[in-house]
Amino acid sequence: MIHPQHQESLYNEILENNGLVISEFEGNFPPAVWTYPKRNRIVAGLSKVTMVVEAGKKSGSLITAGLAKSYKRRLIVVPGPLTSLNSQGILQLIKEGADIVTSSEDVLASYDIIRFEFPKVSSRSSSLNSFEQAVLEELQREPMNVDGLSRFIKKPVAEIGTILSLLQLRGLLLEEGGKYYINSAKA
Amino acid sequence: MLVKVLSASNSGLEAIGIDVEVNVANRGLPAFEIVGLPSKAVDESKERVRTAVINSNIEFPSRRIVVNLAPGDVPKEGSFYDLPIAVGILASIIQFKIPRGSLFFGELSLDGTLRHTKGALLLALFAKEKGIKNIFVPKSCANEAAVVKGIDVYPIENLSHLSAYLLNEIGIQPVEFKEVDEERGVVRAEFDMAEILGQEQAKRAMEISAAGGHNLFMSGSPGSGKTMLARALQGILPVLIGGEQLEVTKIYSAAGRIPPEGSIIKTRPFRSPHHTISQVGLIGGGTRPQPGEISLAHRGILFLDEFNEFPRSVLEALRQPIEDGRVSISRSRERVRYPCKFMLIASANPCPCGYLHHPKKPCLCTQREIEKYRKRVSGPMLDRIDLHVDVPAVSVKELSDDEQIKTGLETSEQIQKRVVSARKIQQARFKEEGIYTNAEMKNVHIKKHCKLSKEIKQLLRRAGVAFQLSARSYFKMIKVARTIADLESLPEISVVHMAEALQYRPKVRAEGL
Repeated sequence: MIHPQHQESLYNEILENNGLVISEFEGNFPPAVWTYPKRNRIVAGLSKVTMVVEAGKKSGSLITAGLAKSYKRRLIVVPGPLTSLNSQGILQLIKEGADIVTSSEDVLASYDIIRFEFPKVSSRSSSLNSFEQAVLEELQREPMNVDGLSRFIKKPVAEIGTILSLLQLRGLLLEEGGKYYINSAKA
Repeated sequence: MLVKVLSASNSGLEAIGIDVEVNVANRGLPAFEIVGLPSKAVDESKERVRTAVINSNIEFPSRRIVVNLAPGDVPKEGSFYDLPIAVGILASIIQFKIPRGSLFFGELSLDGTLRHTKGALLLALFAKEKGIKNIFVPKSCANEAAVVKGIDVYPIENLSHLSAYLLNEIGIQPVEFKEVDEERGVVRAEFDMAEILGQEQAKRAMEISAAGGHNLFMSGSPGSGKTMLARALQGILPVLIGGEQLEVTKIYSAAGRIPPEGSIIKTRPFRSPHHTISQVGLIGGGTRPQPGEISLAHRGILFLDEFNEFPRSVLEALRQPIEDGRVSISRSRERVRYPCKFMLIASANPCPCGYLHHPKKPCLCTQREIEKYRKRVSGPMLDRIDLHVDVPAVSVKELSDDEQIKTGLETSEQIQKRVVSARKIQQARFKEEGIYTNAEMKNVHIKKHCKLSKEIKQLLRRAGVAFQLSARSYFKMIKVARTIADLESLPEISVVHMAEALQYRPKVRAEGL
């Protein structure tokens, strides 16, 4: 039985690409509250490293993390803000000794993969004017929305918007939920 | 004795003449009959007329009275036949002459006074078209009917007042027609833009929306100020110009929404129906099709708060009227057409719990819930909205402590000035096209009025791929860029305008949802 139903195409895609779908339940066995932790057990067991991105105080993520630890698997976490409910589980794991990762290199290191240097693209400074440079600098410091940028750089939102659209089209910025981020793959 | 009195009935915004024939017979048993497909309200007219006549100290004839409402095959609805019927009966018994070319209209109260009756403006327009010189209407409607030039509108207080006039015992001064005041009226909006701290980008989107008549979609957490912004929008819109005023007033007259002593409507309507509204309530309908919220919002704002909570069928029904600017409502007995050129301002939370991307509060929704929530509004519907803007949650304390923000606040009046001048440019541009705003442009107009440089075309092509713009939103972006250029009074669209316009592209789609 495929659950959730809408991911049927994903399952098929996995199989078509010589992948493997594992389940310890047969046939039309429906999902139940107790089957999720059982599935997490397999996920934790199969993985060399378990990375927790967000976890509430009582969450499935914490159960999986606990299982990974008991199987002597490496556990890494992405730290979140202290105030967020969704970081409470993460903070708990850190106290218990989980490794903190803050970059892609950290993740690779936990697999014992030797540090990999991304080639730096240095074309940025040459083709940018001072206004664009200022926007990028602010965003490097902290991802922000248009209103925030306009306040820091002291320019009207109309002008900020124009610059952001152009920078985004050049692939230098990413936008998510109204906030702009530096596209680190390009920077 | 047979007396013929002229009246008129409205079907949508059109009026048709109705002859009210009253025969008070000398033979036969006393009776009072109305024929000509009267509805319940028309039939009850008998009791109102009888009592009103008696209470006006006139003896009601105990003879056989037959009233025919011609043409006989059109169903008659409404209470305004009271006055023409009463006049017909009085003319037979008191023997006064009804002046040639007179139209009577109004509902009677039992004491003989005339009540406020809907549709007076439509009746006056009909009279003018047919060359009828005099119309007699309830006093409280006189102001509304007097908007029409070239006819005499007689304000009638009660039946004895009217019969005294018709017997030449007293004179009644026709109401002076009110010149359609071209002066800028004061638009009273609930909020001034200066009262809203922060939200600079949303305010900018409001300004563009107001200047070009563009539809706008706001997405943001509860309490971020979406509703306040929508209400403040009314205050930056230009007042209705001459032709528009009459269009709006006609709809409100047909819907019976002009208050006693009310006259022409000058402020742009602001309608904000609750999301439990039915399809008929929004689009219009009924056996005698009444204008819906979209028509009541004609030339004004239709604000749909909690856009995703509206039933899908109701929202989908909006699609065609948005494109056409008018709606045809067909029922078995009647077909009417109402105009509905409104600005759609929609607002919604980003997810069911409302706190997605909120800086402080956690979002408790699963990805699946968010997807389901967003899918409640169809892609084609969102595609019909020109401007999409995020309204982020703001900390009031942080903002009110910031002196720079407080001193830089613009009032609605300042913004309105820019909007008005941008609209003037558009009016001049579209003088021969029969449209008023950039948002109304069709593809032909875009080709003619939005010349794009090679550079801009290249930018748009790149944006089309990067942001997955549909063909429709591609054209919407050009329209928005046109408006931004108009706000700066520039004849050509530049890359800067286009790039800013891209800020307001539909984002929900780009996230792949």
